[in-house]
Amino acid sequence: MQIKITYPKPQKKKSHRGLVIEIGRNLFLLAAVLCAAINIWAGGKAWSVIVIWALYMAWSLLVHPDMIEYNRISQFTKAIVQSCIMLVLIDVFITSGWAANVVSIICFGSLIAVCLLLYTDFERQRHNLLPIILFSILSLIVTAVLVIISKGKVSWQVLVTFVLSFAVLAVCVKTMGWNIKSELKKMFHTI
Amino acid sequence: MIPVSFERNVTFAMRKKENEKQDGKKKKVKKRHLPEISLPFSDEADNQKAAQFFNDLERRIMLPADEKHAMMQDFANALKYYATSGLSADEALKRLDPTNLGGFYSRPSNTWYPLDNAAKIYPFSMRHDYMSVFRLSAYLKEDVVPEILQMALTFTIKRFPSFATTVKKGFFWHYLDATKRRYIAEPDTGIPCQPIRIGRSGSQTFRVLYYRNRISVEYFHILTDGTGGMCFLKTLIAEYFRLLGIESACTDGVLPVNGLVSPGEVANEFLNIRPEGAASGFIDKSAVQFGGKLARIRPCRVIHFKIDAAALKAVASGKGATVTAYILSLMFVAARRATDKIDGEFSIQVPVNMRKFYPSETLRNFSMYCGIRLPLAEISEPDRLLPEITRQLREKASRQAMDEMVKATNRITNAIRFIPLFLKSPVVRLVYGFLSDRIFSSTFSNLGVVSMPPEIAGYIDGMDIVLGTAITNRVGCSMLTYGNTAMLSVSKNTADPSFEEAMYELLCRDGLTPDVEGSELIAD
Repeated sequence: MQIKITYPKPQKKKSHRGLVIEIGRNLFLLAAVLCAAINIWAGGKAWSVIVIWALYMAWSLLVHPDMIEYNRISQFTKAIVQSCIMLVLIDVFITSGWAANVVSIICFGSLIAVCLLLYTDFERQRHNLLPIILFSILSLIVTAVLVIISKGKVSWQVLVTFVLSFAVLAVCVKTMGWNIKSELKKMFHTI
Repeated sequence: MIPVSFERNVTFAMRKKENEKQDGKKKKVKKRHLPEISLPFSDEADNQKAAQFFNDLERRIMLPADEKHAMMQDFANALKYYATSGLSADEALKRLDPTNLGGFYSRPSNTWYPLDNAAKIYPFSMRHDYMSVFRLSAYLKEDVVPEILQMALTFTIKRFPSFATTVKKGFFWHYLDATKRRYIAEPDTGIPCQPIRIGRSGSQTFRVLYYRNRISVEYFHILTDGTGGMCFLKTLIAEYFRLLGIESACTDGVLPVNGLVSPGEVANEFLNIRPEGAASGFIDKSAVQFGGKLARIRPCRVIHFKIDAAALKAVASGKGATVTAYILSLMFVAARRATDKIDGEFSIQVPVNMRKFYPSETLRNFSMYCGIRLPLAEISEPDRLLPEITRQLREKASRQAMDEMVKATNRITNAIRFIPLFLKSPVVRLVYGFLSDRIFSSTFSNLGVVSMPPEIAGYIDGMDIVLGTAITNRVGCSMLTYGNTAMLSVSKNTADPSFEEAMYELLCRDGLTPDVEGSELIAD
């Protein structure tokens, strides 16, 4: 059977991502299981939880990043949310009492940064509002809970984050403009 | 070539860059202004008209500056091609009339499309090295003119708004977000159906490629199925020929590029079907896979068997079977020779176009599939398999069977509709990882007879459809007939040549000796 070649000579792709993911998956799983086992065997504080979360962060942000919505806003908010979860885990499992303030500071800084990311490339980034909205809502809920459980003795960071979350939501609403109903339907459709 | 710079309104300088340098007066262009574009005509009056043309064009394109300039450069390149081919300026400007853009690029994109029920699985099933992509190609009598193809794409895309989209994540489901951008035609890379990078803001979900006399469009299956994809390709080709001065009527599935989009063209028809009876059709036993190591780059080879369509039909009819059943019988026998397994079942997935049961103009996905299963032990000669294959095709590709599958799809979709995407995604991925394509050994998709409007049919040599990669299947087959040529395409995910060699031998044995074309094998 003679095959007449009718395609250009393929340029062998140098992408080894598939291979990296395959090897990485096994290595990460092995590391996670080993950490958990050593932690259980050695006893003490549950440091392995933090290590496992860090491995997951490295996996989802670096080794196996999103294939859909891989844009600066979504990746930034994802990194921030995961980092905040990491801080909360450290607070819960290692040393406690500081996470609420630190996470609040990170959140309000990030809320400002995310607005900068939106407005420095508005034409393209205005299509990426959902991560901002979800991040703002999450910040709002967390700070609201903190305000409620601390019974009025909240630090300034928490209050600033609370107010900023509202402000960022307002920015999103303004960005969506007259089309807000359609935009919200698009983001939260169930059909 | 005379450069033109764009300011708020276009004015054009009648001096060449070289002259400017000689004069020592480099033209001052403010940062917000678009870079210079060369006007191709030698006659000053023609260039005046062209400047007017670009002035009008600039007002119609509301894209970021870099894309806007690239698009205007596309027009300039096409004009340059016309000028060098001796076409008059008036005729060239008429063919490229900016009114062909409609309002597409002068309005912000606010439209969006929920995924149709068949497409919902594709974002979950994709991996970094795997994506459900298929390719439709047309072979012209002459080499493709890239400048004209680019313009044809620019004019055609507005007629297919659901194609001018980017995949986005909603809170509950993915969706297609309308994207106004410069859609590009690019040279073929030699490896068909490679994953399309759809992650970035405003990414394309399909690609238009050219190589010598071939125009190909590769689609992420989330956008459309073979029928919708063929409609786009036909319309693109008709527009390409119009730009080359060959007008054709909008028949044979060609849509008028300046026509209005009908709501039916973007409809999710699965929601309009109210199937009665049971819901079934997804779960099945694992099928035997062909032998051969899975290649790292998939497909590692594409092979086209060019068969005389009349002879093929005559052979199939002579055996009392349809062409689909006949090719399936050959595939089963060839598959038997492509594995060392001696027990289990082969199963070949056959897509079924739902439009034949529910007439629809939708360009979105509107097809289901069935699996034709045969035990390995019973596979010997193709002719002996035909009655069973015909029976299974009749039963499993029937309207009732398809209705049951649609019902199952709708039911699953409904059941998980209120689960947020970040929870749904890992579960669906896990389930898909277990099922994936393991219940099938291969796929055979027959698009049937494809025709083009008579005015341009004579300028087209042939067409083909190529299926993209699968996760575990080693081979995927597809076929379409154009003119008197049936093009059977085999996408290989393994270097093992047993299957295609067996297919060739079986076709030759029935007197259908095909011409074989294809791509080079990419060795790991």
